[in-house]
Amino acid sequence: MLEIKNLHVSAGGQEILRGIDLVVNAGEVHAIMGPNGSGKSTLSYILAGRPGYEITGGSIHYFGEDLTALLPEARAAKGIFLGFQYPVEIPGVATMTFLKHAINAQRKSRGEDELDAIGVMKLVQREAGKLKISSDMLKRPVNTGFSGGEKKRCEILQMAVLQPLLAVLDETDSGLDVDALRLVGDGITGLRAPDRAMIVITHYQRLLNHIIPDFVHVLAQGKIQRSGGKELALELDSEGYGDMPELAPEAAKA
Amino acid sequence: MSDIATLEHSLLGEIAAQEAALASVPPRLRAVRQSAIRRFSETGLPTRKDEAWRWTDLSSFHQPLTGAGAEPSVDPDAMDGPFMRLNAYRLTFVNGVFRIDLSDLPAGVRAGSLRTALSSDPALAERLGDNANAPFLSLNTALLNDGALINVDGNTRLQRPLHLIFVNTGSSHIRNLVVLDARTEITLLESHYGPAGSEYFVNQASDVILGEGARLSHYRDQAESQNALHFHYLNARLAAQSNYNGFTLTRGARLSRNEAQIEISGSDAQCSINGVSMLGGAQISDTTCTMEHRAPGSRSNQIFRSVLDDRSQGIFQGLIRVAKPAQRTEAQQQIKALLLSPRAVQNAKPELEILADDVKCAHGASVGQLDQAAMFYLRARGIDEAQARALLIGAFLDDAVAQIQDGDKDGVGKIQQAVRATIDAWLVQQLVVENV
Repeated sequence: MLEIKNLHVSAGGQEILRGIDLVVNAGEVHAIMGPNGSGKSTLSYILAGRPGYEITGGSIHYFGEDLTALLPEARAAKGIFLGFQYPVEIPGVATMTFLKHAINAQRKSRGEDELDAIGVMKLVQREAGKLKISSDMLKRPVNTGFSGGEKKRCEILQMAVLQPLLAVLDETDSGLDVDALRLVGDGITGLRAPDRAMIVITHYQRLLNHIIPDFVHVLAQGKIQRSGGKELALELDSEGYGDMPELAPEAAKA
Repeated sequence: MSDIATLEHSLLGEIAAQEAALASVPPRLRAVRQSAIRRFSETGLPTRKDEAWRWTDLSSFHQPLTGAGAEPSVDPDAMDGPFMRLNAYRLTFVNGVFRIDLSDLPAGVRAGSLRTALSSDPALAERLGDNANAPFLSLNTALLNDGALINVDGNTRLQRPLHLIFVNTGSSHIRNLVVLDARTEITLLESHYGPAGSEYFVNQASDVILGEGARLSHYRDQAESQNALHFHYLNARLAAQSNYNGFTLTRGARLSRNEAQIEISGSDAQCSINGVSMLGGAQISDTTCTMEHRAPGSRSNQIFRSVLDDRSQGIFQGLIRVAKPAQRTEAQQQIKALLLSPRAVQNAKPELEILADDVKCAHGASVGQLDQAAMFYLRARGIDEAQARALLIGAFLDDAVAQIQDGDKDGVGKIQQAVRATIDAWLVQQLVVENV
């Protein structure tokens, strides 16, 4: 599904990713862990197409297609979803209106029929219930005045209604208390599917108690330093990034 | 001769040509008009040296300020504006002259040609406002063509809004006089149109006189030709407990100026004056408002939003003046502009002048650009760039649109919805054309 080869990325003249190689297949969940400033969020933005980053080397292919040539909206329509670490507040645009635009923009781009207001409402309310999102919250402007937990639940709601093929979840666990973490973790796990892959970016192991990854990668200094199974996350949790000799300088900075 | 002098010269010529005709005008009206002629002859056109015109430079305009223009075709179905599809009484004016054949008048309300009303009831002339610092108001009174007289007395309740439709190809000095007796209430809509590309000058003035507890909802759509000049001078006088709710959608004209002089002379009155400007190309729009609180316990608010593309310019000058007796005044003013292009400019000058000590006044002005983080968020969800921009701009403008209070009984929210649809259509056109 996704094939990243020797990817180098710079922003503001500074090299952030220094040769990433990663292959993700349908149905797999990959966790990417690493200290602050290691390039985790940059990787997520590069996949979603955020402006402001320059790819200086390497390639990203998604279902065999050069992903870097696509606009962010085209990537979304082809099934890429970015769960934001910091969901953006959009005053004046009601959450339900936003969801209707997003659902139908993607459907239109794929040549599918658009859903009418009732169709959208039914779809959204079904998923909102699972995440304990009230209809009042759906009337409020996107993320505006939402608590940290509400914002993250709303990200998962968007994922649930947009049904992506590749979900990149950037620190979805940050800022969540134990109960919110369980709700969000269960929400994500419920969306695992044979045709859907996930890249779960996290600083801590705790989200991975809820979403059991197939692979764990450690990103530091812009490179994947180690890869392994779910046990690697536990090892990092008990020993920390600082105990990995090759990571020490970066971890010390963080 | 400077450009201003050339413009002035043409206007003085037109005044001279009309002066002879004043002999046949009833004496009271003649006196009002002659005094306006004297005043305009003394002050002439404003220049940038006049504080109230520091950002609006008339000398760069070469459009004719005089001239009759060709007779336009009037086809209400072809006019595209928010109010055209609403169920309303209609008063149509062509080049400033009332056309009863194109109108649908309500029963029980005095509504029709101001010119006709002034000849049968010359005392009305004394209700026309005057201001030594408003040269275009003086010019309007001096050259007054026609306009609407609307007078609602206590026995009438209109079920539908009154819609004034102005179609212009030539220069005109339109005057509207709106007098609401105590505790009456109407919704007044205005649409201003001109054929695409035509050059003309509309110099409109409106006198609004609200009796005790009267309520006027006044919404204007300015969609003049992109080569026209459109000036509107509003003078509203509010008695105790009266309520003025105004909104202007500015989307037409090469240069427009909406000037408002609001006098709150009765206690516990409310005035809300709002607007949205959507400008592209080389359009310039100037909003200049003086809110005078002269009596205690009144509230005023002003919410203006503008979106400026290409080389367009927005100007806002707003003065809130609270006189000593106007204790417990609450006044607020909030101006925000969104620049879509690096060459677009917004100037803002909010001012407070407060002599009373027990007041709540707040004002704020901001100029910014589209939030790029929000743009990426929308695009990452599959919404394309043009639509994402339209969503964000629409939400930005909506703060002002939401101030519209729909007055008609069976059509709650219809006016707001109609204005939103016009804004959306403008956004689609402006943003899609840009992407090509």
